[in-house]
Amino acid sequence: MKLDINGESLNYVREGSGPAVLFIHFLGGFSGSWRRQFEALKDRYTCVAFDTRGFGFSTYRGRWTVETVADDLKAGLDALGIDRAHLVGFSMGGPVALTFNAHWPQAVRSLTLIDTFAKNHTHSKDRIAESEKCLRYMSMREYARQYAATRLLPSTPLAAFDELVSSMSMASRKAYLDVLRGILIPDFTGHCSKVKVPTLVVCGEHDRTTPVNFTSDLTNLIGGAVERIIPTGHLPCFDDPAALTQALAQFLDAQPG
Amino acid sequence: MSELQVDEDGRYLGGEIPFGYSLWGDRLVEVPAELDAAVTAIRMVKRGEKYEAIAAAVRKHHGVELSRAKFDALMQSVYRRYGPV
Repeated sequence: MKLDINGESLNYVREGSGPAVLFIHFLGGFSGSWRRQFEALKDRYTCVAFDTRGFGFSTYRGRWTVETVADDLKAGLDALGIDRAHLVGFSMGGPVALTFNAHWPQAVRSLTLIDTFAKNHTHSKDRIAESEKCLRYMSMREYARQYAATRLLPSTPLAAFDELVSSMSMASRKAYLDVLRGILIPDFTGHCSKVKVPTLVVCGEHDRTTPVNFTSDLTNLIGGAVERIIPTGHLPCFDDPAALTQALAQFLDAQPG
Repeated sequence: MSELQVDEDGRYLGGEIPFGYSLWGDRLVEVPAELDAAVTAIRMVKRGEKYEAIAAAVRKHHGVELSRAKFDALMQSVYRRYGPV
């Protein structure tokens, strides 16, 4: 399904019924990255995920900033008639969820922040510069294969490796680089004090991208946030989707209807 | 050898050719066996394996020679792009 929003054509998937859960994917992901969580939750929640601009089946005509994407998602929920939702932000989706909450707190029931950060502490400029250089001659597919090799746990099935590569290969190179610039440099810690809803922070104990100390900072910045460490790397939806789903379901099911 | 330099359009300007690529005119083109070997090498590093074992494995499975210098350059680029393996 598609919605025309803010000059982009945004692909989305909506399944199930009950309180709404808005899933915001990681850099290189798309709505389909959440399919296992949809399967587990759609019997009691309205699960909604967009391909953010530049990713999956969505267009990329404008520019990618955390602000524009948060605005896209709010407009998307409005178009679907959803006035409040549980937000689930994964890696790149974390700063987007925090920004969404800062602008429209009345539209947020709870926050789940997975392997993400409010401020990226390390090697951001190197990462952007090297990625800019490599993506001048490297295909997104090869960039994705090397990324998957570094980020997935050795125990993760090869099918998950292929799934991650396939997803990242759909991304616009320009969008990918714009996201790196848009999330690694800015500081989103100011948004944390604006969180007044129940919050779960999930971290993979083997995450080398946003390690436990990043997510612990996030937990400490958000009053009342609960931290849950699961036995995965940076990409739990591939390393151990069941562990992620269980943590998420347990949290969501504990929230008042 | 100096660090790879490419222009905005990906044209080769000078420096070391990355493992997985060869020079064709002023373009870097993919060498599929080397790119497969690069993925194998990175996955083996992730499992804690050392260069000697990695070089032997990519020779056996991909028919590719991975020199120590090329291996180091690959892993440095990977580290800069994605952070610690």
